[in-house]
Amino acid sequence: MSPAPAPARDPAHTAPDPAHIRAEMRRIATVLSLPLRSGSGGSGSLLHRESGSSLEFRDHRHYYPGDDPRLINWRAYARSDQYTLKLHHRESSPLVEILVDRSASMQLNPAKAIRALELLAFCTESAGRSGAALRLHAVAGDEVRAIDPARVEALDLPEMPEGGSRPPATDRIPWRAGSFRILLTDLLHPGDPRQVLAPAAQAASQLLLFAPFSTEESDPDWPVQAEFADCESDRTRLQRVTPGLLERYRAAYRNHFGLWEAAAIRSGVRFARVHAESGFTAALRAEALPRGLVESRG
Amino acid sequence: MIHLANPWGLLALVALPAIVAIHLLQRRSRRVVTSTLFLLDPLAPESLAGRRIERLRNSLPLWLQLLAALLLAVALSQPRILRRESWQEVAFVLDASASMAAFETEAREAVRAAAARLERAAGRTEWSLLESDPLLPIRYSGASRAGLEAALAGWKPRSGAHDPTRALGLARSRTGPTGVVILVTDRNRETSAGTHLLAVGTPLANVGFTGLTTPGSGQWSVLVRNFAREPQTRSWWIETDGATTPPQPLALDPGASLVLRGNFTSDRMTLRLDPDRFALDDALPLVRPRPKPLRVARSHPSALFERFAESLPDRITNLPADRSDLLFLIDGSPPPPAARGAVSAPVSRGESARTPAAVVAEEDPLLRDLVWTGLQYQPPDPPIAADDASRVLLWDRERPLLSLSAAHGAPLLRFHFDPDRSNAARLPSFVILLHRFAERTRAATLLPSAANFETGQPLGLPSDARDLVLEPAPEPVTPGTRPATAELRAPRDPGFLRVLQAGEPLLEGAAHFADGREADFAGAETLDPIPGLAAAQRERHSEQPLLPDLWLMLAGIGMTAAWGIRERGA
Repeated sequence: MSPAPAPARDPAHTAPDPAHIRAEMRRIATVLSLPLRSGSGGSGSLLHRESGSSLEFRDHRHYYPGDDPRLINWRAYARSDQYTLKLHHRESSPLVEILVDRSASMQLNPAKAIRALELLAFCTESAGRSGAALRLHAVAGDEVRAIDPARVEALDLPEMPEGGSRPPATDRIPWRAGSFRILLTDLLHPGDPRQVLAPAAQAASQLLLFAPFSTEESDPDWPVQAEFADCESDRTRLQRVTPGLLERYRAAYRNHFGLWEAAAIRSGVRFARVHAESGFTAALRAEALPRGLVESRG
Repeated sequence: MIHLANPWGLLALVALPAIVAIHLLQRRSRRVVTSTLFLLDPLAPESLAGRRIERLRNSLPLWLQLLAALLLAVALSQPRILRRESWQEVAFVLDASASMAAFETEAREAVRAAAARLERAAGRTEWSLLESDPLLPIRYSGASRAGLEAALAGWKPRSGAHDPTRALGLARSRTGPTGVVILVTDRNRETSAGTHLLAVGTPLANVGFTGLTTPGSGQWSVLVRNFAREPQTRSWWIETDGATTPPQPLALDPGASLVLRGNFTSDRMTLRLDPDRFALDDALPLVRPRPKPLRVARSHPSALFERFAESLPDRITNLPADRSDLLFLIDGSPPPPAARGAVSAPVSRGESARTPAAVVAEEDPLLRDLVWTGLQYQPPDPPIAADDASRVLLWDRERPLLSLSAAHGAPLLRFHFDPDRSNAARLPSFVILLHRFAERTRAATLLPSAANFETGQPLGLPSDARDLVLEPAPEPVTPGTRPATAELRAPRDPGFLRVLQAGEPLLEGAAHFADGREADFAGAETLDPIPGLAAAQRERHSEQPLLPDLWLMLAGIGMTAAWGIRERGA
């Protein structure tokens, strides 16, 4: 039996060189950036989603417990019986909080692991270019650790204990109200997406969700006779892989991310999947750019 | 018809499942580390069929390897074609001795199995079925195996120990030098060259009655022997007229014998032992003996005859001559018609010296093993010649001393000298001769008696007696035939017997098994030469092997092609 073909991969991905990644992202950050600035660019201030002094209307969203009741649009409530917040841009001190999923699935293969580091480097580089302050959180299941920003330059992330297949505990992050939040997670865990999104989105000026993924996950080429081993637990499973099973798996995979996408839309979260085996820029242009998770500079 | 000269070559077929197993096992599960097992779980149950082996994939190397193994098996097993016109002669000689009674079923089964195998060894087979006892007729001769097996049903081995050489010679004469002669017996033994021994015995722990004596009219004495090599315990008891004595234990060391004694409490009784596999010696029927009397008379005084008559057992004397069975006569006197035997002698007168005789004896049962040295007698003058109807038994040169003739159908033993004027009374040979003649005469009489016999023993009744009926009726040796001899014999199985003459009881008797040589099973064993013999016969009657090199070459090609394809695929 011949081994499964390796996914197409950027040669640069085969060796995770932090300096190289950092240099490359620094270059890309001149072309693409996080949507930290309002509109087409202004005086350098960051637009915040929280209610504030700015009179510029930005958006409506559903009321969540904890939101300031003063922001409820009572007129809209009279019309629809729905609590809706009327959001206005306000200028604030920029704070970008990044959650990095350090579960084993994020390092399923070298390409995906490098892509996760690239995304982190891009986000921090882009935030840094915008003059934003950074707070970083490493999460593996229920385990949460703060990342020293000084170590992020070298992409030196802390080792985390195995978190099993539990979702990242966004409810255990000491989020700062009004911060611009970014989740770097592959979303590969069972459960309701709202359990992850709601705590992260609460009181956030903006929440971006980058989900790196590998072809090995989206379109696998498993052997006919496989002994599957869960990368996040000791669990194994003997399985005869038929074409029908492969087809059902692909549908389940698509459905899984369809649920996340729907949940993200409902939660006002910008969500994009980032292919690990494509070039970084091309991967961002595929979904992140169209969905506003990144912007073209200039 | 195709057969395999070397069936062991089929062991190569073991390679077939081995090859399949190798093809299954070499496709074992490959380990895949995944991050999406939670998506897979609800899609399908864990694959049981794929735990360690998976479905066999159809591949050319697999089929080539299977074909090569098959061809190798064919080559090694050496298929041959039996010549349709081939034929063989097979003779089974069944050991007729009584020890085979313990293995009758095994022997029949062995012969059936052997015949079935041998039948496939030639295009046509002529069967003979004989018994080792030369007195017994050929049981079957023909080309039908079914007929051979049917003839087995009537085989009943009850003969005493005997030499099978004559029967084996007869079998060999029927099969010819190239035929197959098989002696079916229960132990290993020396046989003539070319005879195959099919032994079906196994050592048995046999204990049995081995002999009976009746020292007095009211007593019996029975010998019990342990033929086994281990100590044995048994119970014995007596059955008389429906009554049974309580069982009494007896313990016997290996090879030991024990004498049981008792008094007759009934005219008929049966001693029994706990049954074992050899049943013939587990029962001993016996009757209270009632000897047949011999009526003796003499026509003149004779010292020799007086002394002799007094030594006869169960005699009746002082009867008139015309009512006697054995009569001593003066030479020349005619015996009465009722006499069953007569001894005559001349009476000499005057004195003359005895002269030593140079005796020459003729061959006759009366004279067998007797020594006549030292005889001195007074030759009669003139000499007494023997007539043409007489047969001279004893000569002194040309002078007859004893002759045998017949008078009224009864034997007449004639002395040609006066025994009272000789030293014949002091010569044991004359006394023995007269006793033999007297017993022959007693046997020729028909008087009621009771006696115990060994199984198959002649009953000693006159062969010319008419209207004798034996109960139970003697078994025909083969179905639909008459008994082998007209001589009445005791039954071949232990039991009681009776002989009637014209409806009147003449002889009451009992037959018991007493051949200790046939009751010893310590040397019994099993030998089966048939597989090798059948293979050799098939070999003789077959064509040359069917292209053995071709099968091997094709197997090699198959293996090489399979290897080449796999290498290219790899």
